[in-house]
Amino acid sequence: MNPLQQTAAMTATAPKVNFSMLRLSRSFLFYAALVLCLTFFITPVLWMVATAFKEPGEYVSSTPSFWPSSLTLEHFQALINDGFLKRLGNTVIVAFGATAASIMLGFMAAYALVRYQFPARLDIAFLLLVLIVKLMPPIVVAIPLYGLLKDIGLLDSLFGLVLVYQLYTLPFCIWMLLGFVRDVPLEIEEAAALDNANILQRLWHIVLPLCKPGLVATSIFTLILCWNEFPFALLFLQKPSSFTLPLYISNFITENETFWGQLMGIGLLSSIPVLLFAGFIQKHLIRGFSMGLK
Amino acid sequence: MIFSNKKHLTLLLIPALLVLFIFAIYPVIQVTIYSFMEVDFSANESHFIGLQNYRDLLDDWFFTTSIQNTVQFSIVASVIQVILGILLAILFNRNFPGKRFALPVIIYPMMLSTLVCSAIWRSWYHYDFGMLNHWLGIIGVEPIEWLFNPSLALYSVILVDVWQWTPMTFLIVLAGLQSIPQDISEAARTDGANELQVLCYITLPMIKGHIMLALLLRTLDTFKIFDKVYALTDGGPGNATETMSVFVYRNGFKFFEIGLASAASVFMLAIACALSIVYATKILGDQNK
Amino acid sequence: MSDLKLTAVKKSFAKTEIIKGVDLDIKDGEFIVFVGPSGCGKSTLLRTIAGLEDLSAGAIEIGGKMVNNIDAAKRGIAMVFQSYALYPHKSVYDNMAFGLKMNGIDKEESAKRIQHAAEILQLDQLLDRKPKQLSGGQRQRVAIGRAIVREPDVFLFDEPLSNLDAELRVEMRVQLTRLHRRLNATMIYVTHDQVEAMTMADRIVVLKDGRIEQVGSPLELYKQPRNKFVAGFLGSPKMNFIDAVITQCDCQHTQITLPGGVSLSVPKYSLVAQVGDKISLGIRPNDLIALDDSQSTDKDFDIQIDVSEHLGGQTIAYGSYADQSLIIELDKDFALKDQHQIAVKLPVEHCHLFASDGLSFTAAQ
Repeated sequence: MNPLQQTAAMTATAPKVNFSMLRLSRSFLFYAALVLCLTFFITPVLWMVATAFKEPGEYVSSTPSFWPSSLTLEHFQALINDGFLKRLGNTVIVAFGATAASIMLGFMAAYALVRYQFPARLDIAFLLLVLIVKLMPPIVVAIPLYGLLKDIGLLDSLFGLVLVYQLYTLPFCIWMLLGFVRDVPLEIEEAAALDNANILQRLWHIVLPLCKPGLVATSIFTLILCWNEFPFALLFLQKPSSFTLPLYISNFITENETFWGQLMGIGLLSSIPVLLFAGFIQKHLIRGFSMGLK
Repeated sequence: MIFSNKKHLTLLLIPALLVLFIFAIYPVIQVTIYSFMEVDFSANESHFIGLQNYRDLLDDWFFTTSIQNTVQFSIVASVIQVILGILLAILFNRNFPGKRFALPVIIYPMMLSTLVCSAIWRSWYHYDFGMLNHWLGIIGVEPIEWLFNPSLALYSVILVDVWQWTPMTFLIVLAGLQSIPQDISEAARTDGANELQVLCYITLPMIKGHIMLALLLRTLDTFKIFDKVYALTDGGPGNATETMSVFVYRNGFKFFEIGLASAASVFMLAIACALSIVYATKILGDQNK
Repeated sequence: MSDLKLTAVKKSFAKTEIIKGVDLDIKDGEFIVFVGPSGCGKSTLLRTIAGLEDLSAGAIEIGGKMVNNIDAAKRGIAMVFQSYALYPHKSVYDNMAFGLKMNGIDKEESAKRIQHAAEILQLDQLLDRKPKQLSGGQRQRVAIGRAIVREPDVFLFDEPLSNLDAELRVEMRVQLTRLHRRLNATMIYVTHDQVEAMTMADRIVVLKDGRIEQVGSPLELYKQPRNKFVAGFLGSPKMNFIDAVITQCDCQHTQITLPGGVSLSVPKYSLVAQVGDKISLGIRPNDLIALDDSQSTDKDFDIQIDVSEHLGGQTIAYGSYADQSLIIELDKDFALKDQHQIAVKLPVEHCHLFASDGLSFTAAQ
């Protein structure tokens, strides 16, 4: 008798009660594991939200409490006085600027890569270049980029940051949009060409509308990418007034070791837009993250 | 015929190529050149010194330690994340009430900025006021120096990375699980396999590709690790958590050792290229299937 | 004028030659069907005419004008794609209006044309719908409507019915024929379905491996196939082929012998055939004459039947004779008894003889 048959025989002879007990304990185990996992992933986020509303005495204490006993908005008040809105504005400008540029250039490049015949497999070479740029550590090119930005006078400027962010965002957009453009059936575009639509008209009337879901998803990812970016902001921004939110946080951590209320306030406020999108972009997440969004 | 117009092709591709050239290729060339030179930005002079920077680099205990830290970080973090991701995905591959809400909750951490994650965990790791030591105290354990104990600090950083990025490996593996037609596991069940056997002999082999993808992506990503270390320990205590990216940053932007930092950059670039090519062959291979 | 002339047209992709030299004249108002097995190059040929593919060599003239280097949109053609290629984000009306707008036709005129096309194709009620909301047959009609409103000189159809179910296909076939009569435009229609070719075409072009095998009206091709390929491709059920040998061939008559020793006298082919040549005798299933018991003395041979399909109007029986598989079409009244053997007569006037290179003796004569 092989082990399989043995198990089958044992199950068959086992009393019914045991069987349903087994079931019950299995589903108990399942829910226990589930709750454990959810707790692990959600507790720090909950703590962030709670702490943003706590009186300082509740966290700077040898017996810290998880939930606030009374709610206070003092941290948000302090943040606004400290120039939080200015930094929020900076982040919005950089994120939307870099995203708009990358989506436009990336869409054009992706379209060319999908539709046109390249001599000597140059398209593969280009794709490989895109991939390597996307996957290489950004710190590797930080020194020359610093020199470059300094030379063209864009150090410490949001526009300069938008430019260097293309290093992350453009390869990402090209890679993402490639798949979406490929999903537009060639025959539809041929039909449009026979309808006397030139390349711009085809892009505008046919390809862009058909890629709209992809463009939206890619834009959201790119926005998040820029929103959360840290190393280049750290290296290329110096005036506190041009800081982005991640840089603001980093500065806060080192300068005000235990101002956790304000720190979590920044964290909460800067995460709200991103968290709101979490449910919405779930279905595109895999495609996005498989490109190594960070 | 419609898609053979060379002028259109060029116009479509030139802007992206230009941007990639200015912000990626040119800096890569530049950093390679720097790596063979002694550069003094303040005096605005530089001269060729051959392989001296590379020799210095390999003799530099800080650099060799940073390699060791990076490799250790990369392997430990990626493997844990993939294993946890698989377990989570198995849990989520069945229906239960509230699944619709549980899924976004699980993926919250990876949506957050690394800096926000680090801020939360840095607070939790705080020796006096942190939640972790507080909870340990409740069950009677002595407080722990999470970030200032040289033999523990790297693992504390790894824990944060696991918290932040397990959701991603989870999503990739879950996608793999959901792509398996249900009738295959049903067929195996009819053939008399129990749940564990279905998992080991049917399910896991079928999502091998997804698991490898998750592992590869996390390896590539953890190899670059910078933000988290910068915000949690700044490479310390001593150089116990200094990774290669942090090494380049410190030498390039703090000590202005441009030549040395550039040589380290080229070193990293070579590894990244090798990993990218592995990744590219995998992706292109999958697409051609 | 919208006649079409193809001269030595060739098309290669990379190193593979798909179209290997095609010459063809198409008259104004003709309904031409390109038919052939998949991979024969029929769709590629259509796409080169449309201007979606460049020519590798040769020339295409439409209305007496060489169009090799003229943009697809300027050739005065409209095409209906296999997948319909409707613009998924546009309504039925806008699908038809797009081409008109791109060609600078004013709103009023295009509304008139669309209304007209919608009436012909019974799309009046569907103009506001999106393609997603339409059935397969309705999408097909929209695709045709999009071509009609352009008022092209030449219509090109690339396997337009292959995505429809059998019943709808028959219906659309009739509609398309009707449309051709009504518009009186030149139409080129690509299909792999020989029934569509036989029923719709003024002339059929049979293609194989990038070359034209034969051009002619459906009946011409049916009755006088130039070679074994055309003979086997057209007609359903397929023509039977029996191996045979020429045993006598002189000025008076030619005699062939079938396996099993049956000899037949056929018209003389002395000019092209020699004694000992291996040939193939082709006979269509409905040309084989089944004999009942009383006539069995006339029989040439017996067929062993193993499967028979009763279609109501007729019966199709599958069997073999001397290791050659054969199909025979029987009249519905023919009493197919328990016996699994049917005596048959080969009517010599309906036999096609093909040389070992596949060419028909009849045509060569």
